Amino acid sequence: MQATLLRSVQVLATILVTAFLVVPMVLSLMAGVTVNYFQGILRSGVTLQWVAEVWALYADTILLSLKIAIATLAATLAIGVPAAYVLNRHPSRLSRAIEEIVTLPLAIPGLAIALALLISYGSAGEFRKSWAFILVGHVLYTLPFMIRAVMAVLASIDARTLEEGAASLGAGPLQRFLHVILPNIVPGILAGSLMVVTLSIGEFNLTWMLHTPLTKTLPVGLADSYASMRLEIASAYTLVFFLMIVPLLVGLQIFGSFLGGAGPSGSSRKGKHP
Amino acid sequence: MTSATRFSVILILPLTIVVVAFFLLPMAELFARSFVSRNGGITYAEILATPRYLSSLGATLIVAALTTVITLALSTLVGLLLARSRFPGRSLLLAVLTFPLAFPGVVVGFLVILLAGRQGLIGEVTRLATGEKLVFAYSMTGLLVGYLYFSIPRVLLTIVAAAEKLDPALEEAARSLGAGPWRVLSDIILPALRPAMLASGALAFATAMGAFGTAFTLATNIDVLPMVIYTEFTLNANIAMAAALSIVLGLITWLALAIARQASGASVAAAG
Amino acid sequence: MTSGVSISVAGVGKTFADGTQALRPVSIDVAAGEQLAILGPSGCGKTTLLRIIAGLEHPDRGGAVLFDGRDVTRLPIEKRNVGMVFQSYALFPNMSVIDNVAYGLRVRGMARQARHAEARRVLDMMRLSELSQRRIDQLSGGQRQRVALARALAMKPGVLLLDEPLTALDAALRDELRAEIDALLRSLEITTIYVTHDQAEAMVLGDRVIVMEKGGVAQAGSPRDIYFKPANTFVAGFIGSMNRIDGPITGGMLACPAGHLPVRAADAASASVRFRPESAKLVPAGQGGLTLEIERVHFLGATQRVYLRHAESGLALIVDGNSRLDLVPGTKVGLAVDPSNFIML
Repeated sequence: MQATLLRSVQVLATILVTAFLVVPMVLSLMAGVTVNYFQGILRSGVTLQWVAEVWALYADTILLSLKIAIATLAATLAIGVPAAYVLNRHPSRLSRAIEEIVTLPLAIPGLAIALALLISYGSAGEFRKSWAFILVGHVLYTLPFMIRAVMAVLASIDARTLEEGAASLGAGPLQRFLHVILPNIVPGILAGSLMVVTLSIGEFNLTWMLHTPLTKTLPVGLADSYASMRLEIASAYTLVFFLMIVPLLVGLQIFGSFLGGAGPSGSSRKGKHP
Repeated sequence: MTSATRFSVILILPLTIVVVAFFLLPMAELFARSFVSRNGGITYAEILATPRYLSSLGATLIVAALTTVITLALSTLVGLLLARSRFPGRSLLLAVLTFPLAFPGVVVGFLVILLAGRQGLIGEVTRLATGEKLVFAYSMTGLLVGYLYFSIPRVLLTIVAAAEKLDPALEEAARSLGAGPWRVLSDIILPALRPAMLASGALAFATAMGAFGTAFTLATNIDVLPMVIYTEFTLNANIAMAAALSIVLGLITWLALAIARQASGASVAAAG
Repeated sequence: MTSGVSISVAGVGKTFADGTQALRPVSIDVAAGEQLAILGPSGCGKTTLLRIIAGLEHPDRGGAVLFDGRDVTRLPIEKRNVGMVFQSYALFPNMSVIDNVAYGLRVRGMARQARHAEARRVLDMMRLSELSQRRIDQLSGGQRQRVALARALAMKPGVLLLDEPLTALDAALRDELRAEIDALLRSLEITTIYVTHDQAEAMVLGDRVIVMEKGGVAQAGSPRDIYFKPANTFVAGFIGSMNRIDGPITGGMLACPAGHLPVRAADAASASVRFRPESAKLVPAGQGGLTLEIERVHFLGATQRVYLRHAESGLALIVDGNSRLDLVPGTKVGLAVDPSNFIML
């Protein structure tokens, strides 16, 4: 009797939570392809005109977001992968401290970091005006995810022993890194990369503060359309965003097991701020 | 320096430069600029003396705390069920429930509007049922709904993962000793999930404290702390006050996460 | 592959970051081509010593490691030309078996064809040819172990270091590989240092055995010496089983509650004599020097282990003997020990 009561409450809660999370997504997708949302999709019919209009109005924000995401990925690969390797290779108090500092941008609201960047570099003319300014924010915010994903794989393959094996066969530091470490951490790099691109495309908190009228990203454009465009266009724009992000999320589901504590489903200890 | 050490130093150099130049130094400057207010006073004293700042701090804490409690309660109920049952479409359901994790706050705000805004689903349903439209998107309630929207997936998945790792023999042992389902839940399962609940709960709290996009989309007059910081900085150009409030906000979120980590880490050690 | 290097370790010690002493200053010499086994319980410092010889750790309290008289103390492992077999094998998952075995030659800049030919030769020698294209995760534990050994040998090292190479395998496989490794190493005449906590492995594979305890050398000697002439009570207790009888010695006779035993020792008010379980003989009650009661008999196939007890004093002894002898617990028996079999410490 007790058991069935508990179970009924659980089933009910599951249905409610699922509906709560899924229904708004469906509403948004529907609204993006409805001729007139007031009349409803059944009465007014289905159209792609709003999606076309979004492309005409906001294509530059979509392209800039892609550009920044790719640049963020390149930077986190170049900075994060070697750093993760070193932090794994030399476990010490200093390494722990560096890891803590690198992870701090997740514990501090993006608004505060953006403010700090604006105060320090706001007067740096060209840099302030360029998309590189947004890139810096995205790199700070996504680096910990790349580093943790790679460190999780390094720990799981016992990289230190593999490297000792290579060293015993005469391989120097660079050879060990290129021949033995890199090929064996590809899954972690892949998972970290998917995470970085996903987060970069969706980042709003930092970007809203750092952008200029000439450097609007997709989420900035979304905020813009929510405030000033008709519901169908805002929905169509959101639809475009979903289309960009869902393949990445599916990829993350597949490779997510390598993310360990850094993954969306892992018991990550630090915050991230939508 | 051996060649291996030199190699390691070279590899970690880019990280060091980026973090120092674009994070540590700017944060230090933010901190330095946060003390003296525009009119020559001490900002932190002004915060304590200004009701608007204090009430927004209080409102933010309340919304974040409510988000955390409701999210934990719902996610534990649902998470335990999902961790233990196998049904067709289970992995698809889990995948779909993950999606909101990657939505920016502005999108979540828009989804709340679609749900509970002036043209929202809930408004339509209540109008048909009672003749009166129920609209709550553009208020603290709407904000809370938005925060639940992006907190539940993260906490839920953490709890599912933790519950899947639970040894079923523990529960079987407790039942063999005569414990009923509620006792098993309170004496065995919840204590075992405590570290995961603490960690993900603190994460939900910190995220709700610092979230900006959702409030920004819903209404400009929702006075949560991030909105106040934004207003101080952009509309009032009060940089010192924006900096001071950011430091306060950053300290609260950092502290919440640090305490949760300490507590969950300690309990993990005690259990092991 | 025939000329091994000689190794000399002089006063080498290591302290861990937390202040515990992993290795007290230790000195050992290994002749070219010698097979040395380092034996000891976990935490005795044997792996640290091996890693210092390998160049994976560096001594922090002075001292030197010499290869053929050349000081290599500060050289990293990749410049020492040592072959090493790791407890976890450290095979590279991203490479096939043959690429693993050829890796040392690749690093030296040997062309692909030449190094694969050489790797194939080593794989042939170890009867692993049919595995050459396999991935590492397709190998069994025993196969991995042999590939790891082949990989270390392929670069013709001056010294081969093995760190608990058989520990991860099950007992039957361990016995088989132990014999195989021994035959291979003896045919190669390579200087070998073999670290293990398993005394049978140490005795089979070591021309000489070094027993370590608490970061220092407890005894160094031939397996025979270590077994029959242990230098101290630790070695006596760590290797094999040992009986001990305490009592006064007067006129070449040791007195104990269970009777008297002839010993070759001077008079003493209190003394301890030790002997191995297989050094004693069971005789009919009253005929040996001691009389005890059979408590339990464990039949082991080729031999049986008999647990004896003297009820009044609690003296307990074990004797290994012919398993065809049918002994009944509760019977009284006599025990005789030849005086030459006593170990006096």
